[in-house]
Amino acid sequence: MSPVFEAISLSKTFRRWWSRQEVQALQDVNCAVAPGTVFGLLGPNGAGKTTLVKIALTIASGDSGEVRLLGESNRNRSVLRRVGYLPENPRFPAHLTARQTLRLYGNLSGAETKNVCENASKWLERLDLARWQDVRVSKFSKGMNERLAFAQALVHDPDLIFLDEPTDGLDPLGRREVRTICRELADAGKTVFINSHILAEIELICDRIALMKSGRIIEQGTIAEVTSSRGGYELVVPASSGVGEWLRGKTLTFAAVDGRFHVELPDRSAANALIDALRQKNIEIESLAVKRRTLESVFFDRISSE
Amino acid sequence: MKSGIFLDTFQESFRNKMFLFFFVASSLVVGSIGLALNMDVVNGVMRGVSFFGNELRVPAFTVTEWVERLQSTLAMLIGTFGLVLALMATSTLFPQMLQKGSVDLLLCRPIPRWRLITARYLGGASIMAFNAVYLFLGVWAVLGWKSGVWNHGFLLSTILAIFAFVVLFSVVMMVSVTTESGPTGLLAAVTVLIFSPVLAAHEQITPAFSSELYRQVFRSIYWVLPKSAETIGAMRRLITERPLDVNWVVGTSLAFAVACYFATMIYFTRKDY
Repeated sequence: MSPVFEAISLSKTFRRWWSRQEVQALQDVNCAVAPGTVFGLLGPNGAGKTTLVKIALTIASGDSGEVRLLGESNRNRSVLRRVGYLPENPRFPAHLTARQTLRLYGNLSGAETKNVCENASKWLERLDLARWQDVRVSKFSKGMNERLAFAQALVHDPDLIFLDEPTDGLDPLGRREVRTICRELADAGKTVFINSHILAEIELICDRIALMKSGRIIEQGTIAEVTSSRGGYELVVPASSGVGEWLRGKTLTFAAVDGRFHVELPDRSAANALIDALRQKNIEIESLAVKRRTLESVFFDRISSE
Repeated sequence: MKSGIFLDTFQESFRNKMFLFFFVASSLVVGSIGLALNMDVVNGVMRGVSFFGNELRVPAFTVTEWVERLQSTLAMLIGTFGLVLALMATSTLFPQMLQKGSVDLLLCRPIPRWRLITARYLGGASIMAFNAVYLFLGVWAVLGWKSGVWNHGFLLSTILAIFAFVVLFSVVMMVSVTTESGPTGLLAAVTVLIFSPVLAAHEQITPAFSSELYRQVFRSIYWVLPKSAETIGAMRRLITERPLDVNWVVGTSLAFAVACYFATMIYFTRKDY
């Protein structure tokens, strides 16, 4: 199945015309997102995440390379009818009510008014804004504004949705609802592309992630691939007499916890070698598990090492 | 999809009371003339005029002359103060649209950028055109009813008033889009308006320049910039039924407005937001 989002050798340099100062925002970025998934783009501030999304949506233009959305070049603006976007710090016309806002942006996306009105009611209800639908957005709190922005990204029933910091300003219930909706959208065959620096949120909902730093993608894969490839293994054996000395003799790293020894092993071959040695000594093995690192620890390691 | 920004501009003007302000101001002018202006006419000659009960000294004009002069004065006031007020009211339309977070929501739509700006421009121009038509039509109707003088020149001068606004609004659009500042756009347009009568007197001013180069530069500036002073002057000529030659005024001013429009489009369609 062809990707719904593709960045092909995308580069972008920001220049000020009155000075020689340049900022290389994107350097030969290649990225592809499969349909029906939740994709997370991570990176520190200034990594180029928002620039990548803005170029994809023609809000900015790349210096070289190409972006394809839903199989078409993003230069064909009609493809944007099927794309939704929640920008960072969205700002709506203060004179409109919530319902009017959704209707305006739904119509601007080319959707039929009847469908927009139906979807507006649905998303206002779902995002707990139904009571506020006839209130002017100038009276909204930050969290309400974010929820309205989320509704605005979905009101025209897009197939590909870009969310830039979607949980910014939301309370825990709101964040959970956003995660639930993202999952439901992906299960319904739509694709969600999330830009965020809140790693815990990304870890909870994304199927695949990419890590960006200084305009480059330095890591891509599923959460499991990214976190487990460096974690190693943990083998647990009962702390019977003699086992501790035997393990020390093998110069293995282990800790005694609640009558058990937790042995850390760097990779699969080390784990298999120890299993063989333990079975030869008739030492029981209680458990063997892939030792996962958190996304946060991987993030810090990769960002600081590059 | 096509009318979204255009209609939203109207809604915005209703909400921020801009439309209401101009409507009330125009209604006050029309109402004052209708209710508070009383004319005493004898054998077709003005004998006396009172305004809010105060007697005004008037020369022995005929009714037609008096009405034409009143309309001419009103047109001058609209063409200067009214024009500045209209530019002030509309100068924020573009910067508001281009604010971060707001412009992102527009540029990610399947609408060409030029259409976004054009819809905003037409929305602002239409709001002011509506108000201008209301004011001119109201004054024409009330004065005509009171005096029996139906001066079609005054009605037609509405077109010139709207034209003068549209040209200067294009300056507001170009400067406020490129600088993302409403006050800067307004300053640019008002500067053009203020200097317009100075430039219009170029034939009297340029002989005083010591250098032919300065004279050429001054004349070039005159021909390039819009002829706001001549447009307002043409309104007076239209009202007082004097000979009118506005083709070159309209042509050069329109060319300037078109140039501002295209400069804005080129800038806006290429800028990264």
